[in-house]
Amino acid sequence: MTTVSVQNVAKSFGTVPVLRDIDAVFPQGTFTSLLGPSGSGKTTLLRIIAGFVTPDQGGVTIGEKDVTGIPVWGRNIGIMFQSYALFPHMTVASNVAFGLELRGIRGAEAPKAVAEALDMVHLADFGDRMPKNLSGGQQQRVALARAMVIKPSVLLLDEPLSALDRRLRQKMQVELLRIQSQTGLTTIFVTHDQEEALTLSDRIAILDKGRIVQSGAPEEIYENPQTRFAAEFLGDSNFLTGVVESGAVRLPDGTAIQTTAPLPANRQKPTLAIRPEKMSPAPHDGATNQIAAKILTVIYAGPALSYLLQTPDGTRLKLFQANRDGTLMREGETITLHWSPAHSIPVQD
Amino acid sequence: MPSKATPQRALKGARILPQWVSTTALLLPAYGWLSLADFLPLLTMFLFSFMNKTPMGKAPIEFTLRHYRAFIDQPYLVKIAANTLLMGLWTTLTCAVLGFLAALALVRCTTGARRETLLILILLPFWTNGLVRVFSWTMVLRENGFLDNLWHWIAPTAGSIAILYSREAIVIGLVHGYLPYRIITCYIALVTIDDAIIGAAQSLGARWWVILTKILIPLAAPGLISGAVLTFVPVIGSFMEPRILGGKVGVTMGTVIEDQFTQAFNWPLGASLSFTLLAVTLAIFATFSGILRRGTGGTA
Amino acid sequence: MTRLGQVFLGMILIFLYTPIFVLMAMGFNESELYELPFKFSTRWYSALSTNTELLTSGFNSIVLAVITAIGTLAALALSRRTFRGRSLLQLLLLPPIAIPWLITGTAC
Repeated sequence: MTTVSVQNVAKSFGTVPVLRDIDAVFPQGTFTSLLGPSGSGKTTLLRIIAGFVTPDQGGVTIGEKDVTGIPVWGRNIGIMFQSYALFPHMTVASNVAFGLELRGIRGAEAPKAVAEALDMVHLADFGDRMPKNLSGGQQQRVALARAMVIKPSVLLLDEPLSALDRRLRQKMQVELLRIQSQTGLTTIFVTHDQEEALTLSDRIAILDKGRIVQSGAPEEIYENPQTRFAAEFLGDSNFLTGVVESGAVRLPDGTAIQTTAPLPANRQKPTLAIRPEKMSPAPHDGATNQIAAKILTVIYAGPALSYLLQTPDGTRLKLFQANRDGTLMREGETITLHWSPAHSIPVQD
Repeated sequence: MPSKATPQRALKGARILPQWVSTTALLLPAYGWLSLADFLPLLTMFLFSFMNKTPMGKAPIEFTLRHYRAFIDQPYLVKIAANTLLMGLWTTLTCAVLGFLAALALVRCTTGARRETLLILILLPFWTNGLVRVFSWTMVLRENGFLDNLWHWIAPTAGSIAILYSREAIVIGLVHGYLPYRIITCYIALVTIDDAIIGAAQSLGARWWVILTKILIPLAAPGLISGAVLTFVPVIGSFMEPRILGGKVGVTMGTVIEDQFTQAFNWPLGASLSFTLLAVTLAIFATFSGILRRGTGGTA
Repeated sequence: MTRLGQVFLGMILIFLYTPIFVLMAMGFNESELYELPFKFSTRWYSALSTNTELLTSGFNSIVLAVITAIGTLAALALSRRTFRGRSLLQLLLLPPIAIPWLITGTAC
C-alpha cells in the first residue's frame, strides 16, 4: 500500500502559472478528490503525479520512492481517462492484457489475471469483443480492469465518469467505491462535480487558481469552509458581511449575528457563510440570528423545496427545506429566518 | 445494450428524394468527365494494343496478340521491369519512412499556429509543376551543381558527390514529388489518435518503441497502406523523373512505353506494355486491398 | 524528444525546398545553362514580362481547378454512400493513375 505525496510543486505553461506551491499528501488506501472549476489546475496536478507533465519545481513521491525524475512508464500507475482511451484495434482481453505483457507476464498466468480483472467489472463474457462494440459504461469498466490488472501503486482518475449519463454514472460510482475499498488502493480522482466528490471521497482537496484552498474530509470542509470559494464550490452558501462589535457581527441594518467561531478583532469586517438548509423559517424568541426576508422565487423539486429570498437591504438569500407535509410558502410573503449561532461560519474572501 | 441510430438513419426521415438520385447526382459529373477524358481514350488504346501496326496511312490493319508476348520475345524488358519495380519499392519505402516520421513529429512535437504553418509549407511544393521540380533537381545534383559546390565549400579536398544520372537521383526526384502527399496522409491517420490512448499505454508501462509498434503503426496502418499503394502505382509508370534524372540508367517501363509513342512510333506495343503494367498494378492493388480489409475488419 | 522531432521537420523542409530555391536563384543567373559561379541578372524576368502566353496559361489553370472540384463530389459519394457497383466505380479510378499520363494524352 502506498502513500502519495506532492511537495512544493509549481508549474507554468508559458507565462501562465497553472499551479503554485502545491503541498499535498494522499494517505495510503484513501480516495481523494481534487475538486475545482476548469482552469483551477486539478488536471495538471494529476498529470504531474502521473508523470505526463514535469513540474517546474518540487517533487512527487509514490510510496517510499521519489518519482520526480521517473517517466510515466516507470511509475506503475493505473489511470482512467474521460475518453475511455481503450486501444481500438485490440479486443477487450488484449486491452486488459497489454500491461501484463509489458511486465513479462505470459503463459497461463496472463489469461487468468485478465479473466479475474474482467470478472471484477462484470464483463467476464466480453473478452473477445472489440471496444467499438461496447457501450460507454462498458468501455469505462474495461478501462478500469485494464488499469487494475497491473496492480498499480496508485489509481489516477481523470474525470472518468463525466462522459456517462446520470444513471450510469451513479452505477459506476458504486462500482468504483466497491473496487477501491476491496483493493485498498490509494486513489486520486479529478472532478468538477461537487456531488460526485462528496459521495465518493474520503478526502477532498479544493483547488482554485492553481492553489489548494482547503483539504480534509468532505464533512469537515462542508461544515467548516475556510474561504468563500470553498463554501460556494462545495455545496451552496449564503453570505452576510458586517462589522465586529463586542463578540458579534453587526449587519448594516443593525442586526447582530452571533457565531460560536472565534471572530477577528473589533471593527474588522468578516464574511459569514450560512448553509441554506441550516436556516429555518420559524421566528425564534430570544432574538439572536433573525432576519426578515421576502420570498422572490419558490422552486419545488419533489423531496426538497428551495426558496430565493431578499432582505430589506437587498441581500439575496437561499433557503432549502425538506418537503415534510407538502405545504409551500408563497412568493411575495415576508418571513423571518433563524439559524443557530454554530452555523454562522466566518470565511475569508 | 441500447443501439445508437446512425446519422444516415436519422437523416432518412427528412429526405424527400430517394438516396440513389443524390448519389447519382454526386457521381455523374466526375464519371462523365472520366469517360470522356480517360475511359474513351484508354479504350481506343486497348484496341490499338491488338493491332499489328500504328493505325496511320492506308495500309490494312490486322489484329494480333503478339505485342502481349513482348516480355517473352524481348527478354531485356524483364530486367527493365525488375528495375522499375525496384525503383517503385525504394521510392515507396523512403516516402513511407520519412512521411511517417515527419507526420509523427508534426503530431507529437508541434502545436497550434506553428503546426499549421508547417503543414502549408510541406504542401506547397506539391503544387509546383512536376517538370520544373525535376529540372531543379538536375541543378542541385549534377557535377558542379548546388550540392557539389556546397560540398566543396565544406570539404575542398574531397571528390565530387554529384549523383545526377543514377538510380539514387531518380529516387530522390520521385520521393521529392510524393513526400508531401505521404506526410499529409500519415498526418491525417495519426492526428485522429486520441492523446489519452498514448497516455494509457504509457501508464501501463509502454516505452516509445512499444507505443510506435503496438499502437501508432497499427492504428495508422490503413492510411499507411493506401498511401503506399497510391505512391507505388504512379511511380512505376513514371518516365519524366527517370529520363531527366537517370540519364542512361533511367530506362524504366515508363520510358520504354513513352519511347514507343514518341520515338519508335509503335503505338500498339506501347499500349500493350501499358496494359500489362496496369494488370500488374491491379494485382498489387487487389492484394493490398485484401490486407486492408482484413486489417480494419476487426481482428487484432 | 520534441527538439529531435523539430530538427527532423526542419530537415524535411530543407529537402523539399532546396530545388525550389535553387531554381528561383537560377532565374537571376545570367547563364542560359544554369552555369555556376552565379552571375546576377534580371534578363530572364524581363523576357517573361513580355510573354502573353502566361495570361492564357493562368486561365487554363482556373478551368483545371473547377474540374478538380468535380472529383470532390465523387469522393463524397464514394466515401459516404454504399450502393451497388461502388467497388467497380472505385476500381475504375485506378487506370487513370496507373497508366502514364502521356498515353492518355496521345489517345485524346
